[in-house]
Amino acid sequence: MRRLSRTLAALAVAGAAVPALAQQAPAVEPGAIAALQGMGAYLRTLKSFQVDVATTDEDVLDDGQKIQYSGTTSILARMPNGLRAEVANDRRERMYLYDGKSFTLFAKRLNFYAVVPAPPTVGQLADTLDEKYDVTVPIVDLFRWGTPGWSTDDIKGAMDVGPSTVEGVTCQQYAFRQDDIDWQIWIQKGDHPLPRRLVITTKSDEGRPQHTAEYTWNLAPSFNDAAFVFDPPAGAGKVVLAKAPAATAGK
Amino acid sequence: MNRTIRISLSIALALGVLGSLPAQAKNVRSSGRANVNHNKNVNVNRNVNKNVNVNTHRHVDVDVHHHGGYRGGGCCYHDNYHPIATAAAVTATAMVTSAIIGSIVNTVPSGCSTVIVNGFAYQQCGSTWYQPQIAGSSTTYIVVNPPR
Repeated sequence: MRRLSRTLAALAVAGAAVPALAQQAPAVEPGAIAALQGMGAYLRTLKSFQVDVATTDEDVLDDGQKIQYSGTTSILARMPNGLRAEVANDRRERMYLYDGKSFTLFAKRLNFYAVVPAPPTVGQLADTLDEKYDVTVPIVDLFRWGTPGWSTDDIKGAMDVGPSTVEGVTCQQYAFRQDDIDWQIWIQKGDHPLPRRLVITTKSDEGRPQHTAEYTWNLAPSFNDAAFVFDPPAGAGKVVLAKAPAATAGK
Repeated sequence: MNRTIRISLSIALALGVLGSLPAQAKNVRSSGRANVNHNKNVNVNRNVNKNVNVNTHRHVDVDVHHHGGYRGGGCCYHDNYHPIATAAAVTATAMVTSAIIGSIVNTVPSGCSTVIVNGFAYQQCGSTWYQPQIAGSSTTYIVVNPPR
């Protein structure tokens, strides 16, 4: 507190600099947290949605050189118990299908698929896959933001960067800091506070690999329940879904 | 550069991997996180440990189907590269001469055939059988006893 007074006194001397710096005073701006909570709450009101996500990711090589690769993820969700996600990037082509009863992971290039029993909601599915099989549901944030188990506790810094346009959509940009990542999100302004762009910078490697994602939303998708059921293509081989390392170790 | 190629070539020749030139390979030491939110039930560190670095040169001979120098993109028999798969694949050097039951490889040799046993797909490569398994970020093959 004393340091703050001293800082403020120093700033007062600086005169014109005061208003700008004073705005940065709270490391975690409540407005930025509130925007995130608002987005989360809005996402949880969606009964079904389709979203196409254009992604870029980076690998850091042994010598620190970075390699970027790009891809697309297409998601169709019927909340709470239907998910179809198709991932296609330079590394792999995968399809994730969940109908509320079972989960299928299809490795398209190899024409292999694995099926496991699944819990009754997408949220539980995400947890189960993560814990038992080390499989991450694509764009899993969309199914975690705004849920009862979600919190902003990990956020150590939060900033309202200002207005920004993403693919012609007016958004507000926010920047957050956590121990292991810095991330930025562009949230659509108005009655539909959807995430439109996401950038994650991983800080645990000095190469700081970055993930970017741009979301194109359809909030009134047409689909039928067959969209969530796997129909094996000709010649597809059924294989096993590998257990997560921790699970294998008998955790 | 030339020297590296020469070394790679001599390794390839030494192993009898003709017709396929493993270019100089660079390993991925880490990848960026693609999601903000963790599953609170899982130890966060699992994802960190997974990225433990692995010596490249020990398995130059494993990915014989790799045509690129960068161990990122897949080509033929595996759909992805990931450090954890690499770590597991270190044991795979053995497959050139003899396959140890339980060892895990990223790729199977050429000339294998897919055989369905009890509804599950296996790769039969001569007298060696591999059971494919889809893992979180890659597909690997476990050497198994003949399933039939």
